[in-house]
Amino acid sequence: MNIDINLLPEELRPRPAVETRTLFLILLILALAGGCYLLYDAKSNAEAEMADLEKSIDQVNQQINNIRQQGQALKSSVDRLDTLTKSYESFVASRILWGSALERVQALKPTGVGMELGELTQKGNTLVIGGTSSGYSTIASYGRSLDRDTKFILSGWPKLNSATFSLTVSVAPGGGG
Amino acid sequence: MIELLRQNSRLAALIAVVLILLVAVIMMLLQWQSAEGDLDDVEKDRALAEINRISTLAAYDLATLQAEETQLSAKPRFPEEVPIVDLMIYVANGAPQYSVTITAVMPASAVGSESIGGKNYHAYKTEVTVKGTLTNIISLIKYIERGRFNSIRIEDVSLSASGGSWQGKFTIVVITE
Repeated sequence: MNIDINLLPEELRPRPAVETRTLFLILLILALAGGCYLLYDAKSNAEAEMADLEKSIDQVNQQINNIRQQGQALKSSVDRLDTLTKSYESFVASRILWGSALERVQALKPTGVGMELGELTQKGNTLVIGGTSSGYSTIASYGRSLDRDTKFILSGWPKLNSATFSLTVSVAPGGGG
Repeated sequence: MIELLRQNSRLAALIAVVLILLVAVIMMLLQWQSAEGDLDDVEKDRALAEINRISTLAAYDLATLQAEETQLSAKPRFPEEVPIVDLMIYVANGAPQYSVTITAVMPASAVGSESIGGKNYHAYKTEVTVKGTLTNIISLIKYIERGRFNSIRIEDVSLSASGGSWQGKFTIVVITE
């Protein structure tokens, strides 16, 4: 059995190169420094990510503005075109093509029965047909022919006064078309 | 105490460094936590911005609006300007074509306006007086109405027999935006 006896006084005895507590403190410093670095790195990453996201939000907001502007411009253009188209359709639907209507009036006139057209006057959708006729039956027959035509509606009785007749028809919109 | 520190100066320095690092770690930790909190907020903002973008896209269906605009653009509507020269030439050419003589052309002194489909449009009126046979005058009216000017309307037609021929008066109305 060996016994380790050191007869030197304590202050003269050799000391270990690094004491345990010093070593512990150095390790603690290293750990804290490492932790400090890791936290700084994490904070920097979070800030960088945040900056990227903020940039992305700006881009998305810009896109939203562009979509809104484009959408509003398109919407007003569509509304304008829609109004114009509807107006035009309404114009075409309500327009009376007088050339065709008058052509029909002329075509329906009985021929060879002593009746002659003398005056055609249009106001609004009304057409007054005047002329000369030898008898009322011819006028009545003409009036019936006009009334039977889908484009005309006879308004009232045809008039005859001393061989001068007049009858009034209203023409349907798009009439004569 | 001072003696003790002098004897353990290395230890004291290490402890000081540890304390400084500890403070630094705590500060970094707080900053990191704050950055993470801010990052969460920004991520929420980014998600919100994306939702806004999607809802804006849904609200302004650009593809549909563009298709509508294209479709409406192709539909006929009133011209933006009066095709005065073309119309003048067109009417002038029509007269000899249908053996009709134009005896007077009187444009209205002021541009009128007309409400069509709830919108006001310009209405340029020109009174035309012609001479010819009834059939030819009607053919000229038809020619004008059925020409390539789609915003034309003939109104106030008044035709009367005079001797062997007819005299006609009518107004050409051109509607424009």
